[in-house]
Amino acid sequence: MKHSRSPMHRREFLGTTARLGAGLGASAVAGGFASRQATAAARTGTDSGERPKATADTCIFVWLAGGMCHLDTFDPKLKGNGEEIAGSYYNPIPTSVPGIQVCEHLPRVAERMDRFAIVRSVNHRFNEHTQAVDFVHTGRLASGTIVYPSIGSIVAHQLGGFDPKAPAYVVVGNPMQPRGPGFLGGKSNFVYLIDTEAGPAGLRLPGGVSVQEYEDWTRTLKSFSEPYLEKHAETPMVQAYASVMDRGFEMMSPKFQSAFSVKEEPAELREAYGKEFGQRLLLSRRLVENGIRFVECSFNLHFINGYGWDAHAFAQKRVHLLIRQLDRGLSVLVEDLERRRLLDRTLVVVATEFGRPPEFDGQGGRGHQCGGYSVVLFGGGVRGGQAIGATDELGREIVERPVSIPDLHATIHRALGIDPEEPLMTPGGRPVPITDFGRPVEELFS
Amino acid sequence: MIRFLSAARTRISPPILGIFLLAPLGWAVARSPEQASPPQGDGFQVQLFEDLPAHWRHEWSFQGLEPSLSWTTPVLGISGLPGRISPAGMTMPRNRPFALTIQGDVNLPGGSYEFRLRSRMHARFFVDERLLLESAPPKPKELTPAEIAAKEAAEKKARDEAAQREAEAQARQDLLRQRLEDALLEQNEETQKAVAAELEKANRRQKGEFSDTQPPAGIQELGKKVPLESGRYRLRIELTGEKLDREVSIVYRKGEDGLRLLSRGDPIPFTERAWVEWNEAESRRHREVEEAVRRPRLAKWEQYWEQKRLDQARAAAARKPVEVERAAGMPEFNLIDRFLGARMASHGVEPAPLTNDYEFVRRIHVDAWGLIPTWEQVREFVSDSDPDKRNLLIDRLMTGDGWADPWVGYWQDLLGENPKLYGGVPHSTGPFKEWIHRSFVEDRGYDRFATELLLMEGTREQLGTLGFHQSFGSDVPMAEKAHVISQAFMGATMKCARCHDSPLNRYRQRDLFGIAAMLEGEPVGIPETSSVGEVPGRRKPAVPVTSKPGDLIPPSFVFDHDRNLEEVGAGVRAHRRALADWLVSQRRFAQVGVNRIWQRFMGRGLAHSIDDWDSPSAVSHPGLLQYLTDEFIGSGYSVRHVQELILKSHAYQRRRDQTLAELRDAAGRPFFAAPGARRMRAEEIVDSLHVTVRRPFKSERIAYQKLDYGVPQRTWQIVSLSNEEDVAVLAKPLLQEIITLAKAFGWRDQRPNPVSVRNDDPHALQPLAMANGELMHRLVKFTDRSYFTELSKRAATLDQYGEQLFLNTLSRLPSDGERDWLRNELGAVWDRRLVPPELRETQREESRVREVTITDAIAAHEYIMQVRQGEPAAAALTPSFRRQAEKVLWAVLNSPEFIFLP
Repeated sequence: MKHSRSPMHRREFLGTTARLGAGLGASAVAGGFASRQATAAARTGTDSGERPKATADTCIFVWLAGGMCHLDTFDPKLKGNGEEIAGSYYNPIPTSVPGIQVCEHLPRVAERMDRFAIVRSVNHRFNEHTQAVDFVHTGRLASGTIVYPSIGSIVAHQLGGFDPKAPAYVVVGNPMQPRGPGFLGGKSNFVYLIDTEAGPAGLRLPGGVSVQEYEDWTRTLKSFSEPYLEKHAETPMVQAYASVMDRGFEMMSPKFQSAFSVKEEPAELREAYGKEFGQRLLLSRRLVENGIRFVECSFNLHFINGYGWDAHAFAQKRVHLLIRQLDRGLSVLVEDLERRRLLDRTLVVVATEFGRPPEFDGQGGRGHQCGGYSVVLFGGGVRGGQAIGATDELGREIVERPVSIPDLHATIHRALGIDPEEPLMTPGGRPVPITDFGRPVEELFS
Repeated sequence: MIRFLSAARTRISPPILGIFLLAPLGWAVARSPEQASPPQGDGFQVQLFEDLPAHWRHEWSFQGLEPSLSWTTPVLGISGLPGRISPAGMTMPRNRPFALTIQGDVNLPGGSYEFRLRSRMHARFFVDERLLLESAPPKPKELTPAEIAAKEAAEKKARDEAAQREAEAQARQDLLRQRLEDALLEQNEETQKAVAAELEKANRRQKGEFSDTQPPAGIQELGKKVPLESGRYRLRIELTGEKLDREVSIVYRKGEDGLRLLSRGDPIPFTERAWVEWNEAESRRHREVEEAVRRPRLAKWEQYWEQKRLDQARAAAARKPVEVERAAGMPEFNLIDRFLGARMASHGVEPAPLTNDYEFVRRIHVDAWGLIPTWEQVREFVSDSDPDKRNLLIDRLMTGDGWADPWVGYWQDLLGENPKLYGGVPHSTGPFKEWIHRSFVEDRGYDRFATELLLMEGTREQLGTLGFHQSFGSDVPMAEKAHVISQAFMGATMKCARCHDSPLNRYRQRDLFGIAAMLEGEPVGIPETSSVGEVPGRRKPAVPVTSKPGDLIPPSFVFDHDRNLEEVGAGVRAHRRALADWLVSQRRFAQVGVNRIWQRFMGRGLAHSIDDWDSPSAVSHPGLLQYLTDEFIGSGYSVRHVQELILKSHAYQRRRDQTLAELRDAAGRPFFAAPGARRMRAEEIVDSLHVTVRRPFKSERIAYQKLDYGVPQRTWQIVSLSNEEDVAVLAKPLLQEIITLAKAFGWRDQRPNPVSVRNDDPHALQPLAMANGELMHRLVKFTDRSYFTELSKRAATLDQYGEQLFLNTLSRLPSDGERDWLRNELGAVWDRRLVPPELRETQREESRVREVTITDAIAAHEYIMQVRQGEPAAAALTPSFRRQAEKVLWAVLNSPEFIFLP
């Protein structure tokens, strides 16, 4: 859709899209999600035919809360000493791909480097957590006139659940605002689980109630509601709510209850994935397998080293514990997806709010660095075994092929077959392009 | 130590306080000579200097400077400043550059002294005009909330530990003294000597070890040794900086003694506890200094509004009322119905009949108080035979404080009240919800409400609006406030003008920035970020742009360009006041307000677009609007009065009818022949669910560092956590249950922009969040504290149980079909519902609400697990009955009928 240039044209444009939007809203209520469902194979670019084909159906967005240090993981540099000498904290090791090195605590990833792509030149302007988290999730500078949707909500809004009966967007982590739907409204919000034992909020059975009993509960609710719904058959608002109730309770089916339970996986595999973070990856895999379109899987287990990835002060000395869990989790995930033939249609993005500088502070920790850091992608059409972009000899500044957050978002959208320039409509009728001039990193897919 | 503590308290006793209260305060310049000279008490005199000349910083010259405030303090040091008090009696932060002196004469015995200056600011310490120590100006460093919290937690831990060590040492000394006394009594010289030596050692150790408290993070400590002869010395600290947020003090050590605070009286050992006590005493002193200035100013402010109310009433009495003929056959409870009736009669429209008593009592309780009625309230109303009972109920509801609650959520949305618990996120504001609440509880008047908001004065504790001033991370916060104010009070939509001229209405970007400049009291530049950037090679902006980044926009009345700005006077407050005075004098201001009240209760505005008053043809009933606007102004802008008129009209009390509600005349104007469907708002749903089971909110305290919002009891009191760092220690699992449900139904945890009407489109996560949310699980469960456990025990028959269940949830009696349904579901287990007392199993204890410290990730995790366990079921009920009865309650609460108002 092109932007008109004169205000008058724009108004006309607003008018037509507003009507279009109203129509869509109505159909969504009556099961419109099904009509939007599409597989990667079926979804070919826009009518203009310019846009590349979708390479993935679903996305697992792994979030390393606190800011993973690129120097100590995927972009190793000259070694520092944890004190006055700046640099990486660990030794570099070679990988299965000549020319690409990673840190010594990522041996399993190193072995499977041919499946992973590292973007070493991601950057933005926010060195403070809240703003950075917001920016990396929304791809836009927060404004005072509107709340922008997260990448997960945009994907949910554009594509719906891969299975029309599944929730489109699930968060494994805390239900924080930057992960939310912003102006897209509650229907594009996530279902969340604080951790793998919690069960999804809003999709959890009441304590002690079995699946069979719950079916009785919902039957009872339905039969009790019937007279009221008949009486208000002419009230669209009530009827619309009744239909989303039906749709909602479909998500409570035993199938989805089981999708949320990692306990049903074979013990060996659970063992292989490792501790809680691994279990979350396993859960994410179950979810995308069961039709969830976008899963944000948070690695926010701060108790491991005190600060999580936000390795200030003493936390730096134990950050390798997190890196090893990451190594184990990602390497098992990539093979598990491969084995299940899901790797080609599942895009996995390992992202974080910023990297960390080469210098160590007085207590041996690291501060924040937003000007250049790494993000890892694999599966979903991404060609592994490459490192895109580069930082200088101490990983401080980008020297090659900067990738902005809008670019990163555009890359994810491109893989999923979403046009990064398509305008989304705010409730006030203002068109907001999906990304802020983001351009996909095409090298990833070639 | 103990002696110091009590001494510190006596020093703020009335006689000394008298000095503070008499001391010249605020920014008044005139003061008599004796007030400016050092006081006669044993305190040091503090003098605060503001509005420093530009060259001051290099010279440290106090010559010719008048202090803007002075008071005394018992210790040579300072821990904070009293706030500035506005003419409306509100405290304002003193966040402008200042200089300060603390001085006094002290008798010091001769000896070798070591003085230490602790400061995070640029400070100097003098002994008899000799510069002894000078600290460097602070280096600016912004810490994240988590870093500050971690630091403060570490400091607190260190302080606690030191206090503990101190107490242990004290106990040991007491023991030794006791033993010494015993030895003296026994006349055992050897023991005497041994114990005395040990005691001496303990004394020394305590001085050495416990007096050397570490300076808090970020505070420099400089020391210097000087020999002094016995005599009287003039000691002085001078300091300067942008704002005072950390203590500055002098501590000293004489010879081998422990460190002491410098006081004019007896030496005070410098211990952690003494330090904390002193700090606390200082802030109490500052609050009292503020209060003394505040009270008379606040009284004067109140008087101003009282006078205004009298004038408004007089003007109203003199005004000719709007006239309208009564149409035959149209129901009429008050004049509102006459206006509506005239139009309906001329179009042959028959309005919907009146609601029945059950429907009415539910609707009015939710609309007026945001809560469904209890079964007692339903019974009482329905069985009342007074023909005027509807009006009496409305009077009762409207005179209770509860009428304010629903308005808080409304104005939080509209004014973008967007506070966060864990530090700022983009566009977060400070809190001012308590001010909104108080304004409505007291029905202070809509004009005063707008005026106080625009002035942006007063802390949360004072129910002020300073919080509105903030917009975290914004480079032009006042442009955002201008957007909010224009939309809320003028019905002028300037959303687009925030970044470019509006393509939808007449407002240009410079209009919005003109208002911003009024709020700022000086011209405001348009920053790069508030513009539509043109990227070479990319598409051109599709919107009109006549201002460019860097343009400096002067203050302007915008809606009234002819108005003379020269009368305004200088300064921020004068500009804000002028804008507020002009705003509340506009009839449009009153009309927009009336339209908002009407819309809240009638579902649709008299002007359909309540945020956009720039299309004058849109008012459906101009006469009615005129009448209500006159009533509004004449009543002293009483929202309560207009709301009461609306609630008492037949129009409001009619049965819902979607077809009638949507009926329009040829010009597209509605008739208000019947209200349309209305779903409860998020706050109403959450609060009402608690009414059904008669339980208060179960939530953690919403507190963090110095912010304390207490334990919420209504949804509007909730503050979003902003746990962007995604950590368990910041999660509040019980509060999160409430937030999750509220959010699903449209409560906004992020309110950067003004919203008048929420997006109520249904989506599948709503019924799920409701039916399967942790909050519903908690409330539905028949625990020992559940009302329904109570009812199960008390009700004699199942039918009685069913009646109360329905009254308490749906505010009506069950139909015949529903009675059958209840018998079907519960009949088989009803007689076997109770477990005999001797057979009841002991249940595990109910999980308690716990506060987790920020540093304790493991405790946080445990607590989350514990909350997840839920509460134990009531032992008095058989599981078979309980499960069935919980299912029935769950079904009733989750039926659409619960959330759609009759």
